[in-house]
Amino acid sequence: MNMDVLNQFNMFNTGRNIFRPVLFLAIISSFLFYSCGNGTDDSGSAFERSELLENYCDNIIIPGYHNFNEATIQLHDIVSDYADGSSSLYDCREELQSTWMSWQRVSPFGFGPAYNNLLNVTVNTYPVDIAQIELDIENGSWNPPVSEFDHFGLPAIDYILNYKNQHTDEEINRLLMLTNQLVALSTEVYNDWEQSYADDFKSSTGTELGSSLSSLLNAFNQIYEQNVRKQKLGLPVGISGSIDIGYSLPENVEAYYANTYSIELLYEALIAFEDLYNGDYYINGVKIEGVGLDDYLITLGEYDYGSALNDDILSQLASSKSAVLTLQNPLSDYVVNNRSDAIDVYLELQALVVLWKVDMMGSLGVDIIYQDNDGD
Amino acid sequence: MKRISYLLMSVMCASILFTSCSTDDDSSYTVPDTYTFTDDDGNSTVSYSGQTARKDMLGEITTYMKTGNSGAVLDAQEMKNMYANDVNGTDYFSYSSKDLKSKTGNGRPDATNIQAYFETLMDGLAAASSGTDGEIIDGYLQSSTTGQEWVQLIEKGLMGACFHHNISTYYLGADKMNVDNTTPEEGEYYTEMEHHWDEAYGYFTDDDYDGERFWSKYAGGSREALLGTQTALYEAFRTGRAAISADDMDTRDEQISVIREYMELAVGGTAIYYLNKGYANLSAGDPVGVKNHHLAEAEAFIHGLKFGGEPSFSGVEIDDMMSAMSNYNNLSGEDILSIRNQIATGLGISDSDRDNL
Repeated sequence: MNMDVLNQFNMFNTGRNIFRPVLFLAIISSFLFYSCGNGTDDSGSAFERSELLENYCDNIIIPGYHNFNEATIQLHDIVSDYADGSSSLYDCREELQSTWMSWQRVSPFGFGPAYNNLLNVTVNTYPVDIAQIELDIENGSWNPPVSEFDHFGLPAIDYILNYKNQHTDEEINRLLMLTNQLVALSTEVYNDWEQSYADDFKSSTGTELGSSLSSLLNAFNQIYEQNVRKQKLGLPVGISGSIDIGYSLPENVEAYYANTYSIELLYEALIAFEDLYNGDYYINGVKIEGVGLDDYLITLGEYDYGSALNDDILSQLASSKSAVLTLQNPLSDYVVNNRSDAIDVYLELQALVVLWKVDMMGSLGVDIIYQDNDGD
Repeated sequence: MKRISYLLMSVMCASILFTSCSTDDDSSYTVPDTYTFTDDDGNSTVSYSGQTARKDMLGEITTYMKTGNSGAVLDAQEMKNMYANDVNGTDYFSYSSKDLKSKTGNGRPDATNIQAYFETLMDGLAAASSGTDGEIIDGYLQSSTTGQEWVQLIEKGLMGACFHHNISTYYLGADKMNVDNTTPEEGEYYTEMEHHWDEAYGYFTDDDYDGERFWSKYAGGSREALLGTQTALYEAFRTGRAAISADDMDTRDEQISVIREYMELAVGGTAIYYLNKGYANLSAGDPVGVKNHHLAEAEAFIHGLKFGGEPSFSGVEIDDMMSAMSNYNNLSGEDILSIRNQIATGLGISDSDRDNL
């Protein structure tokens, strides 16, 4: 039965079919060049990529990092207050949740400054290695992560703050080191964007390898596929790629020790991707419609699976969101007790991978350059 | 029964294929007698050196672990370093960037749990070698209380969780088969799909090795005689590879099913083989260390049944079988036969084959 579920998506013969749209596109675009003659840019559409990059950079990415940076500072301050008795454990736990929520808004930007500073892996690698965290607490010294990230960041803070109701000095000391590191990293990445990377990002307007659009879209797809679909729900229900092990792995949910808002984090991540796709942003809580990938697809018209693809994506986003809302906290219990329902939700999230990674990238003519790294 | 129908199906398909080939030159290809494939310029397109390296590694780890059978005190960290091919950030073995650990249950959502299972066994083996719950019984270092034998659980267990998993699930799975088959990979003569197939093959056998080892060996013996596993697997690997090079995806998919079916028969058939031996040892009043040695091999192969591409047992069923034999010293002949019969029924192995494996 489990194989049947997956069979809806994979099946072997699609191996060669993947290349058919590319071929089709190549034929279509050669027609396009022929008929348009003096097309304005190399993709043959009239879309101004510089506007999209500007909107993303100035209205979404930099404000997003600003908010996340502020959130980490507040978290660190509250933990400091907890250390000297002027704030409660409850306050710390609340602040952890809002920091985690604001992280969802910037996690899609895992390229450039975030990549160089190992931001994504440091902030949110889970499940954590409890034994190692306990050792860290005991050691009392600070060694930044080199290759093992599963005892740092928000998940490590989650374990210390939420697993225990009282804290020793050593535990609080470790908490402060962890929150301090988040402040340092988020400040670094925010400053990098603000002070230098933004200009580079906005001026690289091509679609080739290494261009801003290529970096952005590869991170967009990779992080949606691996960190949203797979990590937040796939692994907890026991599915990875085409492998379904037939039972759930509840300890794999995000924010496992708080155990009350894993679904909120997933939903926030999904909204973040939706807004990013649409180019939408917020000023004082009011949503503003900016230039996004939706507009880019629409300008491709009906010939290149542009506007129709946009319709498909919007409708799949809507059904994915309502599917996520059918899940119930604690997610770690839900995936065990309602595994097949949870798999249905997973399949809704999976459907977006196909639309974004295969269809959208094909229509936009940007190559996927990442792959699962597994040396042979 | 299922087994027979697959065989029949593939024979039928092959005959249809060959019939049509004679009239249609465009789609004609022949399945070679050996696993030899070349491109139009005669360059070999076959490559699986990484898999050969991993089989060598398992051989070396096993050699080290077995020194415990003659009284050596084993170091758990040493085994883990060998397993991960890493000691303080540098390679343990001469094979750079190849290791067994990252290929244990790789791609499965519970991969880290499975890797941890083997590392826990290594801890148990090291402790046993220094006398904690371990003694050498009839030549095998075993648990004084349960009779479990760590070396077997690790070595034969990794044949399942690493080799069988990579053959049946990982490389022949959709993620590794829905890939490019049109142009050679950069600097190579093979396409990505051809290479993935070779990697599955490389976990099954090696052409340049003197004699069979691991799966190509265990698919032999009584499993070959009664279930036809070794012949079917070699043939399916060759047929599927020829089909890929000829871009015949239907035949490839049929061969994937054949390989998955027969790999599972090899795993389960070997488990039955060792359960039969354990049962015979118990009935004949053979030395207890020998009996438990066979039961440990059986348990390791039962664990391997988790890793089929289209598994006949759920993870829970397998865990239940393993916990039913958590103490070999308490197992009655009836207990052993009950587990054996469950495996045979699940795999569709006839009663007479089951009894004679």
